[in-house]
Amino acid sequence: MNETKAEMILKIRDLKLFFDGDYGTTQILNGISFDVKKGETLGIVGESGCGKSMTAMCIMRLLKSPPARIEGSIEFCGKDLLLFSKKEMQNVRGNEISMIFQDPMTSLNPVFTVGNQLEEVFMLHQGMSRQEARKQTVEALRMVNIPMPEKRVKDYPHQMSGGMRQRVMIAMALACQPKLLIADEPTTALDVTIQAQVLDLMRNLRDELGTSILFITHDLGVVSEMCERAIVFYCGEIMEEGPVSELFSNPKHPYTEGLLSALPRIGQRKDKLYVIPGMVPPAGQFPTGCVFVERCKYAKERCHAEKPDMVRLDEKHTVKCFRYQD
Amino acid sequence: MDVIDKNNKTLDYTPLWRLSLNRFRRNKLAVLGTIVLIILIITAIFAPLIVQYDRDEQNLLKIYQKPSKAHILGTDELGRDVFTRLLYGGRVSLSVGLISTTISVVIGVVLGIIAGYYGKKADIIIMRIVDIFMCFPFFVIAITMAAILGPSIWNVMIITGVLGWTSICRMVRAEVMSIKEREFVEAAKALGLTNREIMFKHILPNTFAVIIVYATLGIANGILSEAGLSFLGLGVKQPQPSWGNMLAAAQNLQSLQHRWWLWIPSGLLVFITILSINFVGDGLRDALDPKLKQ
Repeated sequence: MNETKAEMILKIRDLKLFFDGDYGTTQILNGISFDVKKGETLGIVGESGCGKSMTAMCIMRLLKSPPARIEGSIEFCGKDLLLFSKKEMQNVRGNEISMIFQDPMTSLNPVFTVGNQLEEVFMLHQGMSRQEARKQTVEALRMVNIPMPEKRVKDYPHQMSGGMRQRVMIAMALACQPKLLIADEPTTALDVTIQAQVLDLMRNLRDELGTSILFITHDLGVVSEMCERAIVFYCGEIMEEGPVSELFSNPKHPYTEGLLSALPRIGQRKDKLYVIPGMVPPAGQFPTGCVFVERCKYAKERCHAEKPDMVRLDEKHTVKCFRYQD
Repeated sequence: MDVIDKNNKTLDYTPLWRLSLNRFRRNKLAVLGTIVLIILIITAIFAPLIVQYDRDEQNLLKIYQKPSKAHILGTDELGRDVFTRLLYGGRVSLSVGLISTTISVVIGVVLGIIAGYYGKKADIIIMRIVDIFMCFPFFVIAITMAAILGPSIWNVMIITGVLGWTSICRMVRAEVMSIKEREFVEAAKALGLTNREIMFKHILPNTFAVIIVYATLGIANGILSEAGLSFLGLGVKQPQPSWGNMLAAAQNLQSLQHRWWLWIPSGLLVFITILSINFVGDGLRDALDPKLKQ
């Protein structure tokens, strides 16, 4: 990677996550490494339970420790977040790194107006008075295309539709113009038309504010629309990383191949869609060799015994598979 | 100008408090209870303007008089007007109920939130204290404390308040344990709020429904406790009237059998007040029940 350090907003190296319980330790993430550049949108794709959201929680340091135990490094603007104190981390959250959650129905506090909740962010991180914060709140709602923002600040979450609520969440997340926005499946709970509007809004705001976005999703269509680069996650490991155009046109990892084959295509007449055989193993029961071995059509003996290393295919494309190792 | 998709329309313009108020209004018993309580509170506050006698005004020539035009609820053993003392007694009984409940709500809510939010050691310690408090019968401890501290209105308030926080503590703890797992709490953490801000700004308001209902019913308990302690001579001291120490007249067999006006009115007021508070409490519980908000 020949990008300069200054261009990197986020640099994660060998990130491991463990949960220590009464019955031993469970490993959730195993040696995750990736970068997010300034102003780019990086997609993280994978099935449910593969560790996408846990990666986000590690970056935000939102996991209770114990039982959670994080190893590795999470460098944000050159500083390791894992070395930050609680107080320092509180200043980072919502201010320099923000997060949007999956379900807009439950992400807002039901007993406060949306205006109240937005004001809180401005007052907390920018030291504004309530009056100043109120003005900024109206502007923030206008920025995310909410009609009549002067009126809507007085609305409670239950008075808004899902799409509106997600816009409010985006406004809250971008209130302090953070350097990095983590979007954890922000459109999953929305219907398709609203989904398109929210994605459109996020794209426009990214271009306007220059915010980097870490976009977590299981929807490959959303990735192709939103992201320049993508990472494919499976069982707490990165299987493949590369530009979206290349991943979609020329997938190298059997898992990426499988995910793309499972997508329905217009004009393609099939009785049944392709399904990757088998199931994602539960955390703590991952295979000892390659984690995808039990579902892989190319699996060899070596795959059962050894873990493959990440192989660089070209400047931007990497894959974790023995087929490209020698 | 931005065009907004029709799917983003507003769903419901009625604020939560108005929805709850409408539901409360539909509950006839709750409305009746509210009206009765308002009347009782107003008469207690404006007692000096309503009555024609002084609270402690004695007339030894008119002792134990039956209800008449001059004394609509008769007179007591010192010739004092029972109706006058009943209204002034309402001040004491209602304020004991309110203040003792405030004490128990403050203690219970703070400890309940801490136990529910932090869990682990904090939870274990607080819940063991709750268990210890709940081991002892309320009246046994209350009588012991009243005997040690001496009879006074403030002691009754403190005793009732300090002994009555355990049930609200448990309820708030249970609510907090459920609420803290909801996504808006995670979102608040992600916005950089401190634990204290999350506990008291975000979680506490979500427990108000439980607190309001408990507090309403707690006032009833406070009034009953005052009545019980004063009846036993360990509560509000004479000459200050309270419904409890007026009920103490029923300890005298002569009064119990032949002078009903000395104890039935105060007993009836305690009964009506408690019943009204319970109606209001039930009405509030139904009105504020989140499951009915959908």
